[in-house]
Amino acid sequence: MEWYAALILMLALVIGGMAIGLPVAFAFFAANLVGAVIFLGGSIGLSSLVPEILEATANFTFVPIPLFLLMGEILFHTGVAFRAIEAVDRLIARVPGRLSIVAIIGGTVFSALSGSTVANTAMLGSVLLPDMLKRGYKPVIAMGPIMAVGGIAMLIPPSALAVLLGSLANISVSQLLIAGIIPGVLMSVLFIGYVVGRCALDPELAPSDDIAALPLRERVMPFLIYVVPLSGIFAVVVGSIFSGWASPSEAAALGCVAAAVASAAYRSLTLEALVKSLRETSKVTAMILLIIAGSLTFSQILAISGATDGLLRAMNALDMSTLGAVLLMLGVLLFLGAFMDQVSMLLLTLPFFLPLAASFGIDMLWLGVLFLIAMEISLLTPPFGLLLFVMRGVAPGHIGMREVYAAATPFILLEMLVLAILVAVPALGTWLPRLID
Amino acid sequence: MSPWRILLAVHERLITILGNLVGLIIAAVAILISLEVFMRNTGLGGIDWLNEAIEYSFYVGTFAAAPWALHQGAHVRVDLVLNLLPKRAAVAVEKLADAVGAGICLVLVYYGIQSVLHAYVSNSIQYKTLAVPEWPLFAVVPICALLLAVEFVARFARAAQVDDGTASRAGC
Repeated sequence: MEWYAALILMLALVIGGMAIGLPVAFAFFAANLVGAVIFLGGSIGLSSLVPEILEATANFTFVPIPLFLLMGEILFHTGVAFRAIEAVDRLIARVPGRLSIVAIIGGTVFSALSGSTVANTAMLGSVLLPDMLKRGYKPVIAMGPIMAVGGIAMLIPPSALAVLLGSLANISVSQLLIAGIIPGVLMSVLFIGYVVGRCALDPELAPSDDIAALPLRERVMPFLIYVVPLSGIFAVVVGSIFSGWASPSEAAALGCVAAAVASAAYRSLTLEALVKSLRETSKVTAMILLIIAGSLTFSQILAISGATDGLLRAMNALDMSTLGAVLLMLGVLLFLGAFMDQVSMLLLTLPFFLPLAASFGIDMLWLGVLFLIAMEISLLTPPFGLLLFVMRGVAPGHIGMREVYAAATPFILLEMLVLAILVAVPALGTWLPRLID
Repeated sequence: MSPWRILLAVHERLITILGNLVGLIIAAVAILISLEVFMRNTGLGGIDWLNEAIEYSFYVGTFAAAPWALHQGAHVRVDLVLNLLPKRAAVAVEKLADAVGAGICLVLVYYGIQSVLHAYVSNSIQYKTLAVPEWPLFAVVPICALLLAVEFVARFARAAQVDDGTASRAGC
């Protein structure tokens, strides 16, 4: 079979499965079963699926996924996250789209406490979205900032994906973690600017809900009590990595313990909250790892069918400049990101991208940051961006996927703008890590 | 109570226990890794087998909690097309998805059993820090895929009940 026919067939199977409402993981499995029959030699290929699933999921690099989720869940179910967001809520007043701004600032703070984009979005969605909708915020301005800021957890350390990318691409993990800080903060600032501007132009999007005028002390004290001490969790996670005490995966475990200790210090850690946190983590972990299991096997079948090779050969045949090569790689990531998860994208493309980048003499740290931003964008790109589904999962039942897509669109454009700025000014990504190094 | 309802009640109990068990595994992973970091950095020595045991527990946990996650509606899916369809058609497509899901799981059960038998007969072992026979590892997929298939059939039956309800109301 020609590579393009294999590519179209495999993508059509996944998209078809998803279109009839099959859970995403099972849509990948459906394509894998057909792909195994066609490209892996029938029943021999089908029999090899179970060992491949074992190899895909029994992977220590996935440890931060449930553990960073658990960190967020503990802070959420013990009420510590809620109180922290309330404290941010009190601090911010007299701005259009106030609660959306609270979501962006709260989300940026939690990006530094949780390395999971999913946990970040799920937590902010659970805590803030019902209140925003109750106060008459339109879904588009309520959900968009939560999803967008959720993705910032991929850039601001601790970031599970930065660790994975750094180790796969031989980029210094600590440098890559630091490199995400400036682009992450830049994105937050742009999101705030957009929300303020849009809500000022169209006040109906977010009805004014200003809190009663409070003395400065009453506005600042909750922030000092409920937000500032949480920076200890950030210090445990990031500090243990940079002191050489722990690997990033181990730091995630320390972060869970720190979150539990912080909750206990606020006298909020109950057995009920802990059980709820573990049950929710278990549920979401099973969902994410099953998708990863399905999509990793999918990537392997794509590679064996010749579809991956053919696609990249066709791209290599184009006569390109260095900038052209970078844009091409980012374009491929953005395209793939609309269909598959970030781990699969990395595993699928790095074997081709690394030699390509080396042949052009591209700075790998810079490219790593660009990849992270491209993958962050792909968390939001329809039809299959992961955070779109996380938001759909925590949103009230009457909100459909079309509203979720519409809410994400302006923020995708803003993230593209940051990507363009980073392409034009590489120092924004590389200056800070090299300064610290 | 009909045998089908008894089966569903037992099934629900079993998958809930498995889901909760995975939660405990995650808690154990967090505590054991933290303990290992502490031991290693204070000169008490590390736990050699820990990383590998965690890798296997993640594989087992993913599949063990998957039927419960499906029962709870936690597996993400695209409802874009379903939302555009009239209710009767949407229910029919939903039933199709459940049937396809059950079919996929049954294929995984069949070929999973083949893998287990092959690994058992050839006595194949995963050698890393630990030496773990492959057949019990492989057995996780067909066992959990069977539980997933039962859950898909239960979802199909529930969708069919909705369909019947709609039909009878339409008939009035």
